Amino acid sequence: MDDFLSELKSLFPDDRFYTDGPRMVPYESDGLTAFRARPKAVVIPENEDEIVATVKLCHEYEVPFVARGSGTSLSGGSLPIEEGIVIGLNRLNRILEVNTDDRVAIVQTGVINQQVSATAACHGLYFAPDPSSQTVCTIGGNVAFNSGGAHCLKYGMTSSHILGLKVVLPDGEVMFLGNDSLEFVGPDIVGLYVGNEGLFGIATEIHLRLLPLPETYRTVLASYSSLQAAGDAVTDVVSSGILPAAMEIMDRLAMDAADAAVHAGYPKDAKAALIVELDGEAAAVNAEFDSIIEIIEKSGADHIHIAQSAEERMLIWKGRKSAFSAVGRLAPDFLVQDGVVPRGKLGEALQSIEEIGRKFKMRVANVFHAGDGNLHPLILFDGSIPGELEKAEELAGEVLRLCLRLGGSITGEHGVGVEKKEYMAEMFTKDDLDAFHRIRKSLDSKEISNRGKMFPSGEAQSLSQHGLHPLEKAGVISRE
Amino acid sequence: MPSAKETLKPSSIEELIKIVASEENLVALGGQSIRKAEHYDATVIDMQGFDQILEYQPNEYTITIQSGASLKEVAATLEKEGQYFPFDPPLADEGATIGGMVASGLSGPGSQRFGSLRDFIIGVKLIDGCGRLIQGGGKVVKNAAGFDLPKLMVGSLGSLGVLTEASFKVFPKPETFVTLIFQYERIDQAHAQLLRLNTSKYVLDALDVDDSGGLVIRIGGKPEALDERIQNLNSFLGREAELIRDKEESRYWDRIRDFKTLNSDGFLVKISLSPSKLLDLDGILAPQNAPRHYSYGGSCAWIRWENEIQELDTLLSKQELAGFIIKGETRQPLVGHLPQRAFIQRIKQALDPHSKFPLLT
Repeated sequence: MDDFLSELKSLFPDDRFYTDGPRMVPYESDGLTAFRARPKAVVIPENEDEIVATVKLCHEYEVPFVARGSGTSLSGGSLPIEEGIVIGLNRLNRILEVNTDDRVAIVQTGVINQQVSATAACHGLYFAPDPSSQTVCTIGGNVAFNSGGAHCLKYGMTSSHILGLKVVLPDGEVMFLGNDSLEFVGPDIVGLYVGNEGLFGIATEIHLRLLPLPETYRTVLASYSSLQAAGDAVTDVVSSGILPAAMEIMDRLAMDAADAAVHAGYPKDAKAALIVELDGEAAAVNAEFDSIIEIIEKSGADHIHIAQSAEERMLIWKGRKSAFSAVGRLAPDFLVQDGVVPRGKLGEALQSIEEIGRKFKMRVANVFHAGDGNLHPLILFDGSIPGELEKAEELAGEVLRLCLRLGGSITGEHGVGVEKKEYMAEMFTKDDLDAFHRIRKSLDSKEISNRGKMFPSGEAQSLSQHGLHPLEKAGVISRE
Repeated sequence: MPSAKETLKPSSIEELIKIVASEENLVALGGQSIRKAEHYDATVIDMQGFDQILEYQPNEYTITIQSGASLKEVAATLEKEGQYFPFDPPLADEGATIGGMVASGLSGPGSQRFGSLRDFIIGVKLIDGCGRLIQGGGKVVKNAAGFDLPKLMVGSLGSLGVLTEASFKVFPKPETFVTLIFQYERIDQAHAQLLRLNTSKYVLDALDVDDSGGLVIRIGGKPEALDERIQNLNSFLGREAELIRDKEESRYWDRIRDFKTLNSDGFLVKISLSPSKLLDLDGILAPQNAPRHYSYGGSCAWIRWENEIQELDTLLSKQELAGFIIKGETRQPLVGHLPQRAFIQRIKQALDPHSKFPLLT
């Protein structure tokens, strides 16, 4: 054991410091299971002091670290590297305070997303960001990757819901950024911090903005004979002047998978399903919902199903949110992409994705946040056939380039991580990336915090094939 | 009193890059609705030559605008398509530009509904202190690629670079607004109701409290639902609101948004606040007779301060509050409790290593 490891070992009891054995396995990969690496060590701190001591030691010895929560990243954001260590943060899982007057919850980094809303519910409040992995993903991970969800068009991404952060910078310095106010003075450094992909150190305590629970939800599921028709309906809704809380589209393949998994009751003959949801004050929402139904009736929907109860609404959403892992039933393996296109180009994008799929002779299922143009093509393949994974990756790359060509982004909510870092140079110029790099260096002169992520041409990652995340296979988590 | 050394008005990005690369001590200004050129001992870059709306597609809910464009003109363009900046930016009538809006980080009462400026900015281009044109974010409403430079520019007061363009998310504007005024005898009574409303099911487009004890609520949406919503609010608060509608209603908010109700010549200051700290702050300001208005559900105060700014700095520091001096001559636009100075300094060093742009604190 080298000096670094001996010193690190001295900071933790044996049951919270591992260098080998089966306990290491869960930390070797995350939601992007095609990548895997064994770190030098895994430590499980239980408090901020242990985090600070660990980070300081890493800084001193120039050893890279990856901080992670539940490891649900779909971009390989919490993938370790062999010469580095993993800091597992799940034990910092306390909700420290719910301040109802200020609508703020103060939580530790390892708190599970859904627990915040569950705890705040008795005060009539909730935490709006709702990534599909919300039953297991941690707030620390949501902050690092600026997670999204189905309700981003109206409510914004995670960064719109973070007010303050206690952070341990990559050199071990502890700082508090932000405040408990929705307003701030000076540059929005909380805004800069959120979505840093783990490159700015570790947020240990997070001050979350809570919102009052909507009085009512009105949800409609409409089916169409083509994706194009569903897409046109989205345009009609958008032009109507009504702002929906969510608009989602699934194609036939995704519906089949979701139906098989959770019996969501999607129409059997439809080529596309559109979910539109409004939320808010009953009097206002009911008036708007009448208009939405009128628009959908005129849009040529074959079948319109209006959720009549909270249970029916949950079933519609359960089907949608389980679609990713459900697609796992259709093929041994899949890759999910996360590109964004301007909403008006959705039709063009979907058609091109279909053509790309044909070219590669691979099946692609589509589930997407139509309201904000965030695509989630699911590329199905069989990893046991040599070359299939590489082919799927190549197909994914073409989809990302397509999104850029149409004026969009390579990622809407999963982040760049390991998976998309080589595409950063296609989305940003050399000068842009250099500015990002200078910002990184100003906070992490040795570049030890989540080294190998976001920036192109870092150390090569070894591809391997491991299929679904074990938790997904068990049906515990699902993907956005 | 400092005085601007020189004013340059570039008409192309190339020219602007040359200026940043060759000059030492620079400040970029737009419509000068909050700070005038003569307040700076620096070479002024007048950005008003960059005044174009570059892209606006109403069905995308996005707009991309050059930084020198007039906020008033942009707002009128959005209005024509039935859309708006829900964060309700102030000072359009005084010539505010998009760049100034972002740099000052000012949002208005409408932030109560969907959030402030930071929640709507999705992309930026700027010239950094090394004279390089860099971009962050993009033109689509959802984007997680790269560091969030768009948000970083909000409130940066020109200290990190010269903003050349910005992209925003915009929303459909509610068909009709109506304003309800509930007048209380004392501000603590209005404040108690503000706290109740903040956690209630009622969706409000603005929730303000003024220094006379007035609780002011704005609601917007489909006209056929408004009467019922007014009745619901009346019964929730147990009294009958005074109603303001139509043109008078929009004029009412124009005055609040542009700080016209704060009659005094003192420093105009924005204080970031939590609803639970509102009464403590008011208890300090009331004896000083400082005109004040609380907006954004108690998340911000706008005040006029007629005494020395150092006194306000001390008072705010004690309350662990921070303020931004919107108007009034000062070398230090930020006052009060600013524990994040060290972090900001590191970012500043990264983007403006030769300190060409103004310091913040």
